[in-house]
Amino acid sequence: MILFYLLSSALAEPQFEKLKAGEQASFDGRLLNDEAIATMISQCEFDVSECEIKNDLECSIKIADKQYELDVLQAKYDSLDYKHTNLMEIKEEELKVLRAQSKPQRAMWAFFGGFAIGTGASVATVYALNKTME
Amino acid sequence: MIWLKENWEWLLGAISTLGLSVLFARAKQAKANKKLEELEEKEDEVIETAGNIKADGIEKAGKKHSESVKKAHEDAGKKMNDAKKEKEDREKELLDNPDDIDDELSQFGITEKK
Repeated sequence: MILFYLLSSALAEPQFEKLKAGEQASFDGRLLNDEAIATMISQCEFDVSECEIKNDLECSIKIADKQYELDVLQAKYDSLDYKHTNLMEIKEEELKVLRAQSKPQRAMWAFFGGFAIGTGASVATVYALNKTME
Repeated sequence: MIWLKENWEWLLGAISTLGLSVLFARAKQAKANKKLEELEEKEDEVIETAGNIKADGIEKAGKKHSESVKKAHEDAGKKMNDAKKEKEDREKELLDNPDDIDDELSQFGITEKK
C-alpha cells in the first residue's frame, strides 16, 4: 500500500497548460509550440495509415501468391485432364484394334486347319475310290 | 506321282486358296499395324498438347501474378502518397484550429491544467 501510494504520488498525471510567450509555467516539463504538437499528432495518424497500407500490401501479395499457386495447379489439372481423356480414347481404340486382330487369328488357324483337314479328307476319299474302282 | 498328275487341279486349288488366305491375313495385319502406328502418333500429339496446355497455363499464371504484385505495389505507393499529403493537410488543419490540438491531446489522456 505504501509502495503504491509512493508510486502514484511520484507519477504525476499527463497534462498540458496553454501559455503565452513570457508567461511562467506552473510545473516542470517541456514546452512545445503548436507546430511541434501538430507534427506529433499528424505523424501518429500517418503511422496508423502507413501500418494499414503495409498490411494491405502484404495481404495483396499473399493473395496473389496463393492465386498463382492455384492457377498453376489449375493448369496442371487441365493438362492432366486433357491427357487422361484423350489417352483413354486412344487406348480404347488401340484395344479394339488389338482385340480384333487377336480374335480372327484364332479363327484363321481354325479355318486353315479345317481347310487342310477337308482337303486331305477329299484327296484321301478320291484316292480310295480310284483304288477301289481299279 | 501319277495321282498328282491326274489330280493337279486339287493341289493347285488348295495352294491357291492357301496363298489367298495368307495374303488376306497379311493385308489385315498390315492394316492393323498402320492403325496402331497412327494411334501411337496421336498419343505423342496428345502428350505434346498436354505439355503445351500446362506450359501456357503456368505462363499465364506467372504473368497474372507479376501483374497483381505490381498493381499491389502501385496501389500501396499511391495510398502512401495520399497518406503523406493527408498528413501535411492535417498538420495545417491543426495549426489553423489550435482547439483541435487540445481535443487530440485529450484523446491521448493529456488534459489541460485548469
